[in-house]
Amino acid sequence: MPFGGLCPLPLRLGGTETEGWSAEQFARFSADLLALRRTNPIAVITFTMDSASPPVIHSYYGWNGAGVGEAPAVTGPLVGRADITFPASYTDSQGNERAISLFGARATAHGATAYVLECSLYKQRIRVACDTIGGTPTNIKVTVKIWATLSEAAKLEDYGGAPDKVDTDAETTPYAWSWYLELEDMLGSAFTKARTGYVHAQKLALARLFGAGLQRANERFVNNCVPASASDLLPTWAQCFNVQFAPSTPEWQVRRDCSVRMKLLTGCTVDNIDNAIEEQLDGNLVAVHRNTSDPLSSPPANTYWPGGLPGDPNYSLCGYQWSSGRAHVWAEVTWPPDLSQTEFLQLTDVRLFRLMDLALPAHATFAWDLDTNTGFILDVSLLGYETL
Amino acid sequence: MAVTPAGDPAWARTSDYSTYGGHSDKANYQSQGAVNPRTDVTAEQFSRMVEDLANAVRTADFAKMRVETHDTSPAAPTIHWCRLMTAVRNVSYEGDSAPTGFPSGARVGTGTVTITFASSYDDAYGVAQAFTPSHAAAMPIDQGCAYVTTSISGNVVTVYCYDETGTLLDDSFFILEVS
Repeated sequence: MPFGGLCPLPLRLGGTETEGWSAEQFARFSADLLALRRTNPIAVITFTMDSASPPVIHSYYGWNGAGVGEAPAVTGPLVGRADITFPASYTDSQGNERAISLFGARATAHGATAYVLECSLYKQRIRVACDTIGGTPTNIKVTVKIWATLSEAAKLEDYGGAPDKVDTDAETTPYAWSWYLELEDMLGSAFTKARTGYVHAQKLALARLFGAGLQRANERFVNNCVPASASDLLPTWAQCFNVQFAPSTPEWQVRRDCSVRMKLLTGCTVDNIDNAIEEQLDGNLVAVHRNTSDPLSSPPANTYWPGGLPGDPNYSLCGYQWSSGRAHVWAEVTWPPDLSQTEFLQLTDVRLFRLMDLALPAHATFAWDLDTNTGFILDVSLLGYETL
Repeated sequence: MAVTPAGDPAWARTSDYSTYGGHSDKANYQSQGAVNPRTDVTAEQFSRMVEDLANAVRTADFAKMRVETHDTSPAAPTIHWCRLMTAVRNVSYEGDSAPTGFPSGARVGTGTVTITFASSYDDAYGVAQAFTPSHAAAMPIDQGCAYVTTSISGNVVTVYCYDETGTLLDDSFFILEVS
């Protein structure tokens, strides 16, 4: 969708190749931008060391701007030493304070003589040390590249990126444009159809008002009525479904958690629970297992009862062992390679656990397990006698 | 009719958020948020995109390449791979027969080579922009090369490779980053 008069912000994904921006194109753009943000240096600076007077800065490219005037303070405390001191934060174009946490720097000497260069980090300061091969400190011209983290780790959500992003199927033609044409027809042939002038301006103003005030507002209301597409009411949905989330939890994750619980509103049936688990695991579910098909003549593992299978007297209750795996449910899952251990355990031990805890009756037990083809994974797979 | 992008190509380092459509007062129409968060990009998210893109573009390398010098049998350096803002080449080439659009290389003396850039490059939309190197950083890689220094003169970057004693070294490898 185009920006501007007939389709103002928020930008709606979709439309044609020449006039729109598809969800897939947006996803690629935001992912690539994220990649750049993660790996790019925060600054590149070239200066000549000087311990007697302020070092001369020849060129500076930084996240805060380009040009010598934008460069951080550079001083020369000693011969062959220079300190580059960054402020604790800078204000970006949107007026946001972005904290600067330096984590790396590399220097290259200029000229036709070899020097030993070292960069040391001291919070907001980088000490560049230059010695000759013989160990004599020397002032020279250097280029220093500096890497830092700004405020918080870069993430896709900063740009509205989400795995469930799709093209709009509602506003495939800008609402305001449809209204504009409608108004044009209503006015009839007595009024000019020129795209300039007073009549045009009136039609445009009304069309924008109707497009945003009637159709977009209505669509927004409808979208907020279900958690899968809610934005403004998402915190309310999370409260309704008791979905816990941190301020850093991506909005799409909260939407999914709420949407998964929505599936249980018609009852915690086997089908509903299985569907909810499948959606929660987002393609990483192999199967949900239950001991429903085992007859009592060949009961599932760990099933014992007096008179039938007495079991181990050491685990007895009143002289008999009572135990059953009949009410045990376990999800067999895969671990996708693009998911870190933290993310995977967040998905299984936190999100899946909360869901199964909510959905299954109190007498049921539950667990998750990696699919049988995964093999042993340290810190995740169970270490039992069979493994040993 | 083909579109002409706003602003200058990345290596001019002149783009800011406004080049990409950002504005300090950018807002959702009538201050309303996302109509549907699954299909929309809000003004706030768009503003973060353009700001971060402008920032990243300012500090990105224009060129990064792996170079091998030839001194035992004197010859122009081999550029094993070369990544420019304008093109990527993963197949090696000799400095004295550089493919179109890629920098050339020449041997000056022992452990010393020059890499010469064009004075202007075209971006993906065919917009030409002058290029003059401002920063040249280099890293030695293996083969006994311990130190590397650079110097810039116009569009020529000279790279010197040394051993542990600071003596110019034969047949070295280094990575050069130019912006």
